[in-house]
Amino acid sequence: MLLGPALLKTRLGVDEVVTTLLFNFIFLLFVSYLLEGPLKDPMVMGWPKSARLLPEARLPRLVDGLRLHWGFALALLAALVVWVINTRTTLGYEMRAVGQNAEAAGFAGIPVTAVILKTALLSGGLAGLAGFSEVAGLKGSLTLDLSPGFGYTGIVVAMLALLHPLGVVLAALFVAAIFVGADSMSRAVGVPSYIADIMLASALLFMVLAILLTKFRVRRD
Amino acid sequence: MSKNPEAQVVLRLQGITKRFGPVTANEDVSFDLHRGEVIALLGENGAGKTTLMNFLFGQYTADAGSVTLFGQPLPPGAPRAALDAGVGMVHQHFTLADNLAVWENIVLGVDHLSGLSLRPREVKARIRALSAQFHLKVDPNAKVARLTVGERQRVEILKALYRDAKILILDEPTAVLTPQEAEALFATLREAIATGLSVIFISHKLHEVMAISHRVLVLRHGRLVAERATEQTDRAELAALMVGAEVSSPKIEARAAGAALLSLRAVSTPDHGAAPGLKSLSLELAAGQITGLAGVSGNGQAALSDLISGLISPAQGEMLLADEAPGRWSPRTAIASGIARIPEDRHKTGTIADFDLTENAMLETYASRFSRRGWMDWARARAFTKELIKGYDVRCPGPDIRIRLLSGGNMQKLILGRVLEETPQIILANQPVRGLDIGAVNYVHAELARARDRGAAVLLISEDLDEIMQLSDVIHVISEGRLSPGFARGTMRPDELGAWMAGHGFDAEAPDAA
Repeated sequence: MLLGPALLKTRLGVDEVVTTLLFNFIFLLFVSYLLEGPLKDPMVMGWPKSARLLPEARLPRLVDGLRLHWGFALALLAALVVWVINTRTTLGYEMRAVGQNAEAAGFAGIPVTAVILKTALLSGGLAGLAGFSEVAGLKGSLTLDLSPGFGYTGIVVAMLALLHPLGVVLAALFVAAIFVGADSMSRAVGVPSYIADIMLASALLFMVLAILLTKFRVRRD
Repeated sequence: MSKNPEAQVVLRLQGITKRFGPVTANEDVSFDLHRGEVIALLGENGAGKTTLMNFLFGQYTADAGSVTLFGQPLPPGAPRAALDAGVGMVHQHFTLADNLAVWENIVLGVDHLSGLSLRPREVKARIRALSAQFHLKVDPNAKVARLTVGERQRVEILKALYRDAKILILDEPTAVLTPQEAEALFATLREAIATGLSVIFISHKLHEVMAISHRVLVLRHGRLVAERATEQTDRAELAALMVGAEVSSPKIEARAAGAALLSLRAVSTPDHGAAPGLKSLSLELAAGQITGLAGVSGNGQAALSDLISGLISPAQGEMLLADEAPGRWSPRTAIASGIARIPEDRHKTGTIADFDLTENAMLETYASRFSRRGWMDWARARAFTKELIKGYDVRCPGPDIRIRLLSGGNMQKLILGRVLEETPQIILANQPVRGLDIGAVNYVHAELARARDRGAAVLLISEDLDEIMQLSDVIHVISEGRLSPGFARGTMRPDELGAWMAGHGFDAEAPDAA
């Protein structure tokens, strides 16, 4: 499904962040159609919600009594696989070269268009895996409000991890802790849960600022 | 030319020292500039010439030392002070607004364009008077976007003169000029010093320094290592002073041509914005020869280079490799066909700044030599890079550091090694020594000559006519996408080539197909 933005990027040079953002609405409406139509749960009157997954199709829990499910292991595995692809395989070398300097990569004979396509398809697959894990591990059925902005949070996580596939694990745990912690704090002591957004925003801003400042040298006059 | 020792000192630098961390940019530099005098600041890239001038304009403050202008101390770190006192600088990269007319550019920053006090007619009259006096021919009403590089430089000089500059600093002014334009610039400078201006001429071209200056100051590693009256020195001595040792540029002897390894037959390519494409261009690169391509930048060199690199294909005409048409033309096909490509911009096109040396060394051959069934063979790649570092004298801490930390010369040596290790049959060298110091320049030239001697066909694209004339067996001139006939080594004088560079001679030769 990411073929559209990937082709737009490679043929016309349209920025992929913009096109995928716009594709969000198309797909949300498509999912909405599915939930109102073919996938609609016949048992739930009027509520746009798919039928529940069969128990066999669900991801089992890692530990009984906790909500932690095998999707977590899947995510760790995905991070590891991406890291291996990035550092050990030819495709990873090509992806990094194209990402850092497409002009030099193209000059050196790396098939830039094909690499962008492959990277986009890989990312799309990973995003799909995340959605599957959320439905099969936690929710049990597909609803329209499946993702409370996971995509955007993903951008923050990736930036906090300085785009390192293994750093992403730590950054994701950090961000998750803040969000979950803010929820329970607001329930327990009435701290507004917006505090989580503020913390995350400042973490990101400080990070970006810190990266900028590392480019300068401190000196005393 | 000789200077009057009694002449008034207009600028005095005393004990200027500047360090950036552990790097010393300038150390204890002192000199005087007199009224009506031209001094040349000579030095390799990175010798500290430009840094020194930046003190005058307040970009940097010196760690020690002082600057005195017309007897007054110059306050450090005040960009306007030098301008107001009458120092004008013409930078290597012009600072003109393309969308404004010449006269508007000249008054920009002096008068307010929208101010009521501005009288365009008087401004233009003054500009015309200045142009006439200093032989700086340019139309005040022309839009800067339409001007040639030489004309733009004249506008920059006019701008300084319009502001009543008493001291003119020219940073590598001839880098972008044809020999004729450079000669005209010198005529202007002679006119200027006759009226009492003083000039600091920054350059690394020895013959120009000899032609225009009264005194030569040689900078090396930030220190003023020598001061010579131009009359009492020669090019050999200055070159030796510049690098701190006797330099021997590689001796290159003419050779007979072998078979044509690459032929272009009436090839045309589309224009690319302001850069012209090729206009029915025919060219043969013969084995065992260096073919030099002279020309002012932006005359189709980029299109030719892109074509041979595999980035573009001919729109019309054909390209043959050893008399055969190649398959689908791409950078990968070009590399596979034995074409070594040294790109014009080693930072943007030749390397990936944040990749380490290993990752950069294998950029063109990773698929064929360093990967097996989709997995990278890093051990082999690292070993290969270590050999390149040794074999091509790349000065660096090791193969694992990012290439952005290397100097231009060492970066270029790595690129050179990367492509020459494949023993290419055809070598495209686009501005291979731009921005390098003399040591690295000689190294690159010697390697190109060596490749030629073992039978490779070399195409050398350069804006530096000296380089072309020194290295090439055959010289072509490119102008607006058209190619001059080939001139054998030693049959043309620089000014004759300069006429071709300026576009003369092509129409007489015009092929029937226009």
